Amino acid sequence: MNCDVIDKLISAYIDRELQGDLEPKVRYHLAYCKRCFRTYMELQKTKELLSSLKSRDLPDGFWQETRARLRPQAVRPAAVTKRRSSRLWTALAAAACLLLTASVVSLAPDPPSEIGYQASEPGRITAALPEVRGNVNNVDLDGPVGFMTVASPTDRRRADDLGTLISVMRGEAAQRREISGRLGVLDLNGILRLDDLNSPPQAEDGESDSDDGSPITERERQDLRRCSGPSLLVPAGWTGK
Amino acid sequence: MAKMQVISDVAPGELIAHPDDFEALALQHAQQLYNMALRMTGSEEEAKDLSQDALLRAYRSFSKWKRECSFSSWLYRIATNLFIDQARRRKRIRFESLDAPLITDDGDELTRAVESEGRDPQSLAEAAEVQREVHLALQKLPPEFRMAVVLCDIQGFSYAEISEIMDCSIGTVRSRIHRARRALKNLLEPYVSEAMVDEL
Repeated sequence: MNCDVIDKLISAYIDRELQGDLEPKVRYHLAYCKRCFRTYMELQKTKELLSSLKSRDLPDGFWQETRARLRPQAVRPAAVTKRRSSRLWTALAAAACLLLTASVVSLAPDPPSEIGYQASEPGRITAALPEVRGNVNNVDLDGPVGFMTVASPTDRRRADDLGTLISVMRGEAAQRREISGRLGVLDLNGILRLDDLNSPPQAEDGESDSDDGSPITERERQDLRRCSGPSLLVPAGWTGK
Repeated sequence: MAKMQVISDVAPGELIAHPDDFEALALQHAQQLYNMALRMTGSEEEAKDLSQDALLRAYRSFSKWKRECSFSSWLYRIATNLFIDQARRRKRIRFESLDAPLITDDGDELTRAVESEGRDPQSLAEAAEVQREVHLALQKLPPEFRMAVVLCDIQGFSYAEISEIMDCSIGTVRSRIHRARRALKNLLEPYVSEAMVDEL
């Protein structure tokens, strides 16, 4: 190899990025070629100068600002947060009772790993979270309540975090202005949560179950239609746990 | 029952990302991302904007992250594309005037670090000057060269990772890094030569 060829390989040699027999060839050349060895030393020093640049801390407030841009809905007044938190606990308590009952009276299969939420009106799927948009499996537009299921094999550990999910969806909806009306969230235990995006949270929770084991029954659809505020529905087929 | 496929670009059953997952990952990489952006843009304000824009874009397409590459490679790829796009839109490479305000590392931090090594004020000033000159020299490189050498020498990525981040072949990465170092060697000649006198 002549010096021109070696010269182009010196940086990769410094970085230990040469494959096969190139590395020993370059090393051999550097051992006897004074000019190339000098280039090698200069480039090595240049790399050291770059590597010596000190790492800087993030500017003050960087993460708070970034987080506010990512999830603007996460920044909310404390009073509202408390009310939502209380509502969530109420909802989860109701869900726990329902699940306990269901586990006694039903031998329903394990719930599918799915979350989903309904469209705002029949025939029109209006919005999806960026996190779930690409994962929508299918959409059922039959009847007044559009419904989509979303595969979610890894979200099981977050099955009880409905408040966060709804909060995120609310923020998305507010940002995109594409969604209105009620929002339904079906968690991994088969709990469907409805949330009116355009009105303040209400204290009442409604509940219903069905007995045919299908994912969404006509009765459940009727229950959905009757819901005017945040409600919990537990389809029998999805209450195995 | 009418059923329809809504989105076809992601296979059913693919992992769904949760916002909290994203935040946990982003927190791990935010400082490194900011430092890369700082070396690329040369300005604290632009670095902050670039890293926040990259995080925002990554957040919005988090579900598309296929886990075939590391989160950091994916995040840097987004930041790289943003930076290159911005640089191309400006249609010029940014040169900094030597008498313009300079970006230097925090004085207090530098003082503490060097004092602990028992260095005198003159060597302190020299160290700060070298840092400043290296930073300025970087800004004089074309964006693609700058990005390659920053990812390699400052961020410590391998050529394979850089090729993934910059969406180019490993041969191109090798060439960009080499040409960038050669240009920097010339720009930083006094400091490189000084070291050569000591070592040869």
